[in-house]
Amino acid sequence: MREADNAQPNARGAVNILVAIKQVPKADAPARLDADARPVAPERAAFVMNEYDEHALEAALRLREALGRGRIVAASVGPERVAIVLRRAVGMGADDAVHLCASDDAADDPAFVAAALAGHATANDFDLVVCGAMSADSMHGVVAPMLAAFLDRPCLTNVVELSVEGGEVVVVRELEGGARERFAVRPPLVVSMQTGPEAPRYPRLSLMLRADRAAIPTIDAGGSATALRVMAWETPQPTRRVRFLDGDAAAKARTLVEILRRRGVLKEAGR
Amino acid sequence: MSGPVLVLLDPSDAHGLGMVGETLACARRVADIAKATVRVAAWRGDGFAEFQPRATASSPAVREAAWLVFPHTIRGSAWAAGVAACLSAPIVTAVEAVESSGDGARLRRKARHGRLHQWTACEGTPCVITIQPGAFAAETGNVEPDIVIDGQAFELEEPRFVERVDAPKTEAALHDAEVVVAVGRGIGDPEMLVEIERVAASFSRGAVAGSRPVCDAGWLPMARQVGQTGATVRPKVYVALGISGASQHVAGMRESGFIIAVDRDTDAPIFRMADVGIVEDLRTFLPALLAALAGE
Repeated sequence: MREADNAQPNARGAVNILVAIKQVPKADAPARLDADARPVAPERAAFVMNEYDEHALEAALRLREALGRGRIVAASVGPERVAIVLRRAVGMGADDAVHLCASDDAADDPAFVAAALAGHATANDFDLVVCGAMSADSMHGVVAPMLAAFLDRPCLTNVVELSVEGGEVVVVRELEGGARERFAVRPPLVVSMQTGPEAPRYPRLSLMLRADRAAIPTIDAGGSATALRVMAWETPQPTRRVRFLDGDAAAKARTLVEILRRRGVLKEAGR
Repeated sequence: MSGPVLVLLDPSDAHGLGMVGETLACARRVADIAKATVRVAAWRGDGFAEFQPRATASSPAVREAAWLVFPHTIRGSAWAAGVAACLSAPIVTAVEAVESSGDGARLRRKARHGRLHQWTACEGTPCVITIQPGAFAAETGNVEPDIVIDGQAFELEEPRFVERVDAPKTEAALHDAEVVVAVGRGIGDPEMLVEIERVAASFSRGAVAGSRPVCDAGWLPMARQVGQTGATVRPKVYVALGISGASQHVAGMRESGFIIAVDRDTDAPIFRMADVGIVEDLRTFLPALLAALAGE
């Protein structure tokens, strides 16, 4: 990472942005346990770019558009299959991509991912690292603040607005209940992006052609073994009584209306 | 006897403070298993704890702890993560249960979009954990921190706090409603909102709400959002239409009196926390429901 004192994105040509991307199973991909009570790996076609990371990349692309300059590098930690989301990132407009090669399990350990990204960021000059607020499948939400601590730079999580003003990165971050706070930080820094009204763009065909031909450097993510041991997996038990209704849609609808009527919440004639 | 189980509180994190009873309850479970004592530390400083992880990591009480326990709030988890990184400690987030396992504790959290439970053990000391809101029954009674983590000595100028920005106001009808009819991405098409409004109008005190993705997409205004970053509601009846049941939404409605879920995916996590489950495509079910409400 470049030293804080030298970072002046408006005073020099380059603004270097690293966008961290995770490949995750689709939200509705079945999550079954095999005979050994271990999760069955989803098929390749069931993997997508983590939605929060799509928003992270979109925010970086909009920032580059607003500034009129900037170099965006997409990075992903994981096994061979993640190359496809890196190509999608280039198709969306990232200038380059880098694949930090690691096992499935390591890619799911936020401390490992943060350390791998920190290693890459340290070896290169980045003004800004943009992550998604969390991965939709594991929902830890901690890669960005861990990465920032490894880099000894500030981190703002759950960011809903991202801009550059007068040499500072200005963010609005959102807390529980929708409360929002505005902060300003001199680069370099790390942010994690929440979802928002700006829908992430689709890849452009012309960029996808370039992406398909691009050589994406594959680097060993390095890092030491994680100090966490996954011991077991389970299918969750219901926490309420869950009465599933039977019959066709019409029958279920009638049963439901009867349930609601007995609870006294329907607008009856004359009420 | 292992090092203490240390609970960390940030007085400026209202949601974390609101969870102190639950956080303590989990800490006591861990302490029982680890045969350790529970201590409580409070952050004191002009700056936010989450932006000064080194200040926390260098505190003697933190360095002697075997477990560091934080609430899994937006601020709390960022604080926990920074501290874990500074200490090179493993971190397990959004813990929902703790059990004894052989020579230590194992921690349960959700995985795979909330469809599976994963049990994990920490093989390092300290272990940092964050506690999922609503997972542990809160201890009652006042909590007096016996340790102060002093951020004053580490005062940083960055990030520079500029200002609070007004939170979007929640539509009052959401809190007044007896029945909340909530809409998720599973409805597929915003045009279905017309039918959904008619469903809500069938209740004497009903209101329409939406999950965050639906509000992000502009199908409903942000003032109608229910969830972690929106409103928390506790109506008599909550009807979840096309909502998968991700934690961030559930946070805003799990204390509803009676929960009805309609979705076409039998495995959607919402069905594990519903009183009534209806596995149907909404395109088929909504017209059927409107017909039934009309008494046909």
